[in-house]
Amino acid sequence: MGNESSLPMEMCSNFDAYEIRRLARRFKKLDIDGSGSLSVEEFMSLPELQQNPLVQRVIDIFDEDGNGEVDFREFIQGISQFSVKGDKSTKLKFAFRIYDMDRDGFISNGELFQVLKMMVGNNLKDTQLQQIVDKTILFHDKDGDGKISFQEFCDVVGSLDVHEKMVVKP
Amino acid sequence: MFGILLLLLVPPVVLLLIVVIILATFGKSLGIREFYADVLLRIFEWGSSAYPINEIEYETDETLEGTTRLRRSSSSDIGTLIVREKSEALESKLYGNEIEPGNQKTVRVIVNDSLDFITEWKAIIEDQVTSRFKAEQLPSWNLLTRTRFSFQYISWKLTTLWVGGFFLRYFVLVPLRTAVFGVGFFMMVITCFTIGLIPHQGTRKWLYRHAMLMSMRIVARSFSSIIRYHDQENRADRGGICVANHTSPIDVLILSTDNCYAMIGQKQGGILGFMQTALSRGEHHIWFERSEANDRKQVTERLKEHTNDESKLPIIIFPEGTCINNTGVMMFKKGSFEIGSTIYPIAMKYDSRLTDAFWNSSEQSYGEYLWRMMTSWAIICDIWYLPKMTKQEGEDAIAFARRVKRAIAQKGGLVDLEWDGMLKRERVSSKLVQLHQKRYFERLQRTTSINTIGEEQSEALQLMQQMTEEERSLLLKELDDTMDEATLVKKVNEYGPVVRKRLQSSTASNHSQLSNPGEKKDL
Repeated sequence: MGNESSLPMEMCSNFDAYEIRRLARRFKKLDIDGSGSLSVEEFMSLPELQQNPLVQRVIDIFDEDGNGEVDFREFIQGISQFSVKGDKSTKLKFAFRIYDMDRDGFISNGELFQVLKMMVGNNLKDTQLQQIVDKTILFHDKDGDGKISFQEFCDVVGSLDVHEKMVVKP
Repeated sequence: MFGILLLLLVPPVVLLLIVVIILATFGKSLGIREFYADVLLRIFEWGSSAYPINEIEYETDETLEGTTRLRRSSSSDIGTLIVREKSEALESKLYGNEIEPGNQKTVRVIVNDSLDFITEWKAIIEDQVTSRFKAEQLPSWNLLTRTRFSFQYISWKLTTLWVGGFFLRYFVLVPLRTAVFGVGFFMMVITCFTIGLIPHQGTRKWLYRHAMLMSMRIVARSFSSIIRYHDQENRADRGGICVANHTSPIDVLILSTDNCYAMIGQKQGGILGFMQTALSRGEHHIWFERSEANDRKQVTERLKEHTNDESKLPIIIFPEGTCINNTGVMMFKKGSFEIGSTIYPIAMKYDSRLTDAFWNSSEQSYGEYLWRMMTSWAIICDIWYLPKMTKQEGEDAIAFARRVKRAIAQKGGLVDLEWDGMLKRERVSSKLVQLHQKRYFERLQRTTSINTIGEEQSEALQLMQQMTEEERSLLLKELDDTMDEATLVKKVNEYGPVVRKRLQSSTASNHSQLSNPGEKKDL
């Protein structure tokens, strides 16, 4: 959690007391074994997520301390990034972190490959996939360090309606 | 004293029973049930308007759905519709319903879609699928404790009503209903077994039809069911397949009060199993085990055989394969749509204000369910017979199933869902995940140029990798995001000669570092 421990208060302000209470109930319901945290299996009990190819990535982002489970604080924090009140850069950051698997602030060639692989499975040959990855990195890596920074990512996504898309109303 | 009182009660009760049974036999109604339901609904409406208990109640309610319901009902259904449309964005993309320009920039499409995948995560707040397997929450309390978790004191008027209702249901309705149910049930069993003995086929079928209609109507009365049939001219004749959405095991009973069906279904145990055996004596029905995977082919065979025989009853099938809480229609199994090309769709919608007819088979046994129905107010159900639908040319079973499902959902006012009802029992299989990935891949093929990665493009890539930093930044300045991929590739390849020349000279002479800057100035 480290330096982000100051975040929850301000992030929680995206929800009012009523919404937090509702989310707490939802959390309790998802927490089938009552352990106080949600495991991958518990998330996967939702059929809509079972098919979702990026499910593991989102759980990893939610799971700030990297213990493999999402506790209530992480749950609220994670969802608050989808909040209507959340600003565009928070949402962009979230999308960026889907690809930035090792959280070093850059999307490397290997990371992009892995995430794309999750999305298309074995339908595309690895060599073809690698070409797409190479192309993406080459075209969008403006500073030529061989990886995509957050700024470079924003240049790609900038014109998309990220803000409208990533909104969840609790 | 008490004994005498009981004795005095016997004649009117017996008389009442006889009247009910005779009326039921001929499918006639005195309008008493309708009146009773109307009165009840008025009472509930009064209860919820005079005492806006919902606010208090739902705050303390244990389930989240309660709150959602409340919010939804206050802002009408529009709110939910919008949310649904949004989550369908991805679905329509994957199924290719949306017409999109091909040849979009791959990166943009992929990043955009990964956002859609993330958006699907709103399911963790409220998902469409698992909520269909739980009882729907009501906007107003119908004085049945089971729609809430325990009785709560709200006001003395409501409490009196609740106590009165409790006595009426458990001490007046239940004994009467049990008697009616018993009569209907035994009538069905006995007539089925005796009719089974008649050798002449024509007579047997005629008798069976009437005996079934009669006993089913009696049984249906035991739940005070009020069934409204619409568009009866579309009812199926002999040898067809009828499909309907599935809410509870009494679906079939309710349908059978108006038409006689051959049943196909899973073998059940207990009271239901006994009924199945009885039914099979009188007419041709098909029962199979869910686990009997290898039997499936045989089931299809038997179905085919059955539908080809004009003399046999129309088959009733619930292609969802499991009970849904009557707010949505889930995926129809394609099996029943492979057999014949003509389907008679039936939409069923229960009015949940008086009783929730949904059977949550993972929580209740069939007996418990029946008991719950017996102790409820009444079952109100609307049945719409839709015009028969035929498989169109070039349409496969899955597409046909989806079309029929949509028609049923529309008629019954239900939400049309693409999900497999079996998710109630099983997890999504990895096969389905792969299918998702495949669909996604197909979408990429439709919308981007990934399948046309050709010689030219690989060449361009190779070139870019061989470029020095300065060369690249020069190149990138020339490119902008509005170009399509073909122009990009062309632009890059224009740099080919320069880079190759530099590479040659750098291998030829050992002071490549020095010669590079000079060459770049030539650009």
